[in-house]
Amino acid sequence: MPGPFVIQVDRELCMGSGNCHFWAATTFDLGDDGRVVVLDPDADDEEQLRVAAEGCPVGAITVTRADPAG
Amino acid sequence: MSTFADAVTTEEPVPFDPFELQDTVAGNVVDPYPKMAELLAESPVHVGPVDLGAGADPSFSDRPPPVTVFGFDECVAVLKDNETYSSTVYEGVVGEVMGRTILQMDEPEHRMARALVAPAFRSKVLERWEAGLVRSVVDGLIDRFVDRGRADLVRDLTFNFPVQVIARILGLPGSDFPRFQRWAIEITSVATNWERGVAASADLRDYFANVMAERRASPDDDLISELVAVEVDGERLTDEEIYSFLRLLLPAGVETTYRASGSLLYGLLTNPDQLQAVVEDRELLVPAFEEVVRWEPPVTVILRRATRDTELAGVPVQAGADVALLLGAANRDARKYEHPDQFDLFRSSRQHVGFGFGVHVCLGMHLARMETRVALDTLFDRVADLRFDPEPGQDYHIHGLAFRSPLALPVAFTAR
Repeated sequence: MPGPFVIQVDRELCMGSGNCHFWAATTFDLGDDGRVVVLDPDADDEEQLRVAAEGCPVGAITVTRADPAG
Repeated sequence: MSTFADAVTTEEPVPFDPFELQDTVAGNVVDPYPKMAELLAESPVHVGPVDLGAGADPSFSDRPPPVTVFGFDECVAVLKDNETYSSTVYEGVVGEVMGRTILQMDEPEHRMARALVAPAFRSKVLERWEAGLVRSVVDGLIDRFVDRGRADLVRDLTFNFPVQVIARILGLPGSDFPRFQRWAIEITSVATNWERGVAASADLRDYFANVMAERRASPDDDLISELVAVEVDGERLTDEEIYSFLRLLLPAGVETTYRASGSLLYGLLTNPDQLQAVVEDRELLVPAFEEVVRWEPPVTVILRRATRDTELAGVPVQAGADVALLLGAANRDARKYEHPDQFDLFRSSRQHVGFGFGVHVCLGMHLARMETRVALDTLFDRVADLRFDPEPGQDYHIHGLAFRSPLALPVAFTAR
């Protein structure tokens, strides 16, 4: 069952600032290569996800609402 | 046992003269924000010299006209386009004093170099310094004034804790702190005293060379041990790269946190309702710090250099032009923020460019966040009824143009 949000990360663009982890720690982390990994797309609330996406300094994160019909 | 935990409170801080770190090159500017807002309203991007209260820079006729960016979206656009807008502009003055650092590198070199030092600055890695290190540094400083019931929080706290924190993270022995702090002041104020700053840079190189030799022989749980051992994809840091990086930590990691923590205390003390809210709910220290980095970023301007002819917000930018990004103006862009000039930790937007943006975004932002949060949390644990206590007839404010913070924060309180 998909959660309410679809989270897309561009690991090529990611430069490992860790800002996403700072704002939404249960959703995002940095992997061993220093780039973003999504832990649990449904763990943080919409506000946290929005702040994390806006705060990504290279714009590597997009958060969209899942289409309930899809 | 690691060296940083030793003798936490025994060293006398270096006598403090806040004017040593003032932005004397830019003059005695109290509040450049009204002028910035005026120019931003005219256009988010200006070509040619601008006067923000310290006089317009002389323009050099053989150089393309400089560009100044005031708008939030325009600053973000420049910082994200690191091919058009190069960081090599920092090769000059900064590179000469600090040495070659990630500050002045472009891609792909920058990404590789940053990857070597970045792991040490991740928020999870920094957690280990919170209780034993930052809190004990701050407790030691508070011990000196808490019985007086009054203090100048700049002189007695914010000026001293970031340099002691960095010194301990580097694993320097307590007996070296006074001269380390002296070098930090001298290298940071190089713009006002060039020869003294360059001499401090050379002294720091010699000093770090000895420390690195010790850590290679017997590694410890500190940043220098980490830097001499780090390896990513077969790449290692050369000694010269480590000296340069460590020197850069002084202006980048000490001065900024000193300024931001002072401005945060100023924002809270002049908004007692918000101070009260933070004292009662320490979780609010997170948005409060973020808000001060928006409202009063300690570094209000950063530079890039255009690599090709281009256009920004419809304004032509010539190849080779220096591009000044006014982060402070962008953070108060009225097109983006409501009541932009107010310190409001409850505002809904957390987005700002106070740490920069793009691939060069502040490497130490998690350290700055953690240090300042723990410092204020510790202060609020030790004192009650904290309030601004100005001398009659004295005006206190956040001060400066390129670098801003309060010069003094006289307070009264009750020791808990």
